[in-house]
Amino acid sequence: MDEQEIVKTELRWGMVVAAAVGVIVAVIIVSSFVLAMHPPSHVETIDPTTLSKSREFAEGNLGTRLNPDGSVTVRIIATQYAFVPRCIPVPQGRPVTIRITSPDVIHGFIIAGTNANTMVVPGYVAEVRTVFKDAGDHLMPCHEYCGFGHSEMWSLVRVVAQSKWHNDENGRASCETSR
Amino acid sequence: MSISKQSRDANRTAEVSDPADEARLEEVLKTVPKGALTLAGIALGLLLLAWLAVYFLIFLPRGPIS
Repeated sequence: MDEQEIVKTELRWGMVVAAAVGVIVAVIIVSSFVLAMHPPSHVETIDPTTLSKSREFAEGNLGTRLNPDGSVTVRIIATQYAFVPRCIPVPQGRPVTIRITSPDVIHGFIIAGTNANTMVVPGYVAEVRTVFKDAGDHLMPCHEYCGFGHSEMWSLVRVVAQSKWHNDENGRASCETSR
Repeated sequence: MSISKQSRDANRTAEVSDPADEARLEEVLKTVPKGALTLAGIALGLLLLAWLAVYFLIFLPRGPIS
């Protein structure tokens, strides 16, 4: 094998590797467009010092609420060292919008076994939209080190089957009423 | 010219001019690239299959995000 042949072989191999990378990128692009998927990148600001006095993130407004169109909005506060509320019911197979913010430091939000995953930064509202296909409990731990109690900071997301879903006249639901 | 450089040049001349080594080198070079390409091809194929499996069997079933 002379030098020219070696160069040709290297070029051919380069094309094979480029084709493999091309296949991966094409799969990501096509599936992202077909399924309308993209990473959460919702930029909305909020004053972290007056969070409890805000209309949206006041204590009485946190948790799960059914919207008139059948979708669900969940509002959560991530604070040192707990998510409020501690148990979050969501209906199976319906669009769920999760809005979460922090009054103190940066926290991490992830629902185990799903692709719901984002940072929770004070001063910003993080928004994640998803659909839970299967009923069951998912652990929701903080995955960004936030202080000494970080490892104790977790909540539960309870995906409830449509037949077992209950909400009050205001659309509010809790883990006690839906199980 | 330093002694060490003289010595290296002498060694190089000996290596190149040895007909037995030259023939052996030619023989090895005929087969080695095929084996290397086969090995690299299998590794790349497995990597691609593993990525596709993780994407379609783990990532997508975990639900949409936006």
